[in-house]
Amino acid sequence: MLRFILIFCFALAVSGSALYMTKLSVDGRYDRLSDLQAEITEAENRAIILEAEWAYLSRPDRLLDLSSSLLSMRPIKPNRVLPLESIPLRTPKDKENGGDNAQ
Amino acid sequence: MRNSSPRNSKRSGFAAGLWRRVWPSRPDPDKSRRVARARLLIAGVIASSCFMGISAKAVWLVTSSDTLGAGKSNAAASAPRGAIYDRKGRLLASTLPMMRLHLDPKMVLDPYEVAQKLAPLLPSKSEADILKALGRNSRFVELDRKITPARHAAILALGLPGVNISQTSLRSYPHGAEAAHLVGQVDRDGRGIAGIEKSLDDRLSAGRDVHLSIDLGVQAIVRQSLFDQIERFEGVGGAGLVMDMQNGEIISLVSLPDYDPNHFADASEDAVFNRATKGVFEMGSIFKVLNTAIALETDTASLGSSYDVSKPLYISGFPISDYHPYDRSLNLSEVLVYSSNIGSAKVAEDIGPVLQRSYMEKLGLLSRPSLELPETSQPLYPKKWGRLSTITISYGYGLSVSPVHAAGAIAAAAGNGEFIAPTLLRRDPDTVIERVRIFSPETTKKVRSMMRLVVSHKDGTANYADAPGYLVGAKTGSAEKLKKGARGYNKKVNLTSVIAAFPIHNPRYLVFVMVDEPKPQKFSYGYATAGWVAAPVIAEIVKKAAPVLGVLPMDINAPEIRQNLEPNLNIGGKGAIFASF
Repeated sequence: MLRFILIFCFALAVSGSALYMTKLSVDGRYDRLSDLQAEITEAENRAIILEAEWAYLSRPDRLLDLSSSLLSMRPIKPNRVLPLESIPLRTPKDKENGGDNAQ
Repeated sequence: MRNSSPRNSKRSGFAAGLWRRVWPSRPDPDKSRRVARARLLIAGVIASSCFMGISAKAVWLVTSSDTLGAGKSNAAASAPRGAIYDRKGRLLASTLPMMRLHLDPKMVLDPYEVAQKLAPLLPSKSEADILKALGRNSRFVELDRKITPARHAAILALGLPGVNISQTSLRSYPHGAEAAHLVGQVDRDGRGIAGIEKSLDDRLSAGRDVHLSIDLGVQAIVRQSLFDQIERFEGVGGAGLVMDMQNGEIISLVSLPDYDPNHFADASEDAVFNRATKGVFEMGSIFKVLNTAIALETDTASLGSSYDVSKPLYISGFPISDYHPYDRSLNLSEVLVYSSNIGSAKVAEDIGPVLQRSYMEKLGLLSRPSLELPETSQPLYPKKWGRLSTITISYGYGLSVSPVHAAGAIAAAAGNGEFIAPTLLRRDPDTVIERVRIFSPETTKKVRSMMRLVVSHKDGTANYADAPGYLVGAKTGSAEKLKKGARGYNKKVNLTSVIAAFPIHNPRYLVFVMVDEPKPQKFSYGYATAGWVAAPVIAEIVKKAAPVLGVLPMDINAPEIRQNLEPNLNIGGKGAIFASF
């Protein structure tokens, strides 16, 4: 009887210690998790602020002002725009001629 | 005898009795052993119980998962409000994390020191303001909702008790007034109170983002073009709209004057009013497009029908006359191209009130639009829809609708004949759209051709709406406004509007521009009609927005253009000329 109780107590002590160690390790992981979550939240907040800043800096009126003062580009006249299909592609004969020229 | 020891014998009375209880004599060793064992057992049970209790609590603490659960619920409760984007993913509204400064006056040791040290760090508050705040009988006095990281660090470095900083959030609109009326507004607690912020509050509060059908680039073009023209003609306001006619998506919706939603408290009532969706107006002659389409669809008129417009028409004592009088009969195309009120009235008389009303109803002009905005209005229409109403409605008086109403209806007449309810939400390509056929393709082909002639014919009223290469078709409308506080119309106060579609042979986009109360100008030779005021804005918008929308300029003489327009129109005795004058 005493032996059984001793073995039981020993098993209890071992499993209790194991449980405690597991608990400690889980606590550690929870700490790590909350750290990571805090990091993610912080990164998300930074991303949100950067996205808003980007939106603010790329306001159409600001871009218009910048492009008119810094670039020399102007709207293309409609008669200068053609669809890709309207550009004649090289025929096989043209290619042959091109090849001859290259030689 | 043990109990008669000299030590005991020296005590007597109460002391001796107490002593015996504490230190009783044990004459019988067996009894003493039993007593000791019993005591040991009791002490053992108590000690074991304590340890078991401690162990049970320890096991409960180890196995409980409260910490995880609490973390999760906090995360769910603090989900930030969803963002609002345009159709290309450009941010229109988002919630930014922000620090706020608040005071606990009961914890403050020296109010004068706090006021003196805080004031330089708070641009919007003086020392007196801070002292006043500290005098309040409250444990929480908010001083500033927008603390920058630099000021946050500086305030913490002061180390003042009772001066607290906590996290909060701020709804930010990085594009300011650009889409103010659409996006709307939230209150201090982050609940939507106007625009999409209000109508989709449930979705946004749950942290879900919203993608609008608006293209911010086109929105900026429409807003700037309209703003410039309102300034030039000293108008009191205006509205602009661009809509995809194939799926009802609104690409741009502008109401001027507007306001910066980041400073909503400073906005005037007039600026907050959404003229494009909430305002209802008598639209004037742009309704002639609908009148013509209904007449053609119901076979009450054909291209060959002729209407005498040489004399003013008198209906119930009201004279109906033309802005540009013609001393002859006009055919149906000429009635629209020359914008003849007399001609339209005669066309409408043939249609009749019952048919006209039923078409107006089918085109959504008698009910509140199903737009995703709280700021919409019920149109104003006559309860008794008689002969006079039928006639006036044919040229846009007597029925007041919002620009969104007009756009939805005219998109059906100038598009492929189907009515699609306008929407502000981006539609997935595979979404099934509810389409209601109102006009046949033959009818709309004729209407589109007439609209092109309004722009391209030298006698058309919208010559200035032409954008070379983009084949614009349009109709102008200059409506006199009702006198304020009196009956009748004020001939000097106009509402000018133009509705246009491009490319008109296969229309994709509808553009609407309205300028409210423009004043005659020297450069416009004293005119303040739609052809002078609103039509140039259409041309400006089409020229600038077409490349953004991916519409390529085309050769006006291309065969497919002529195939998709009606060549047998006769204006001024000559055949149709769709190319620019």
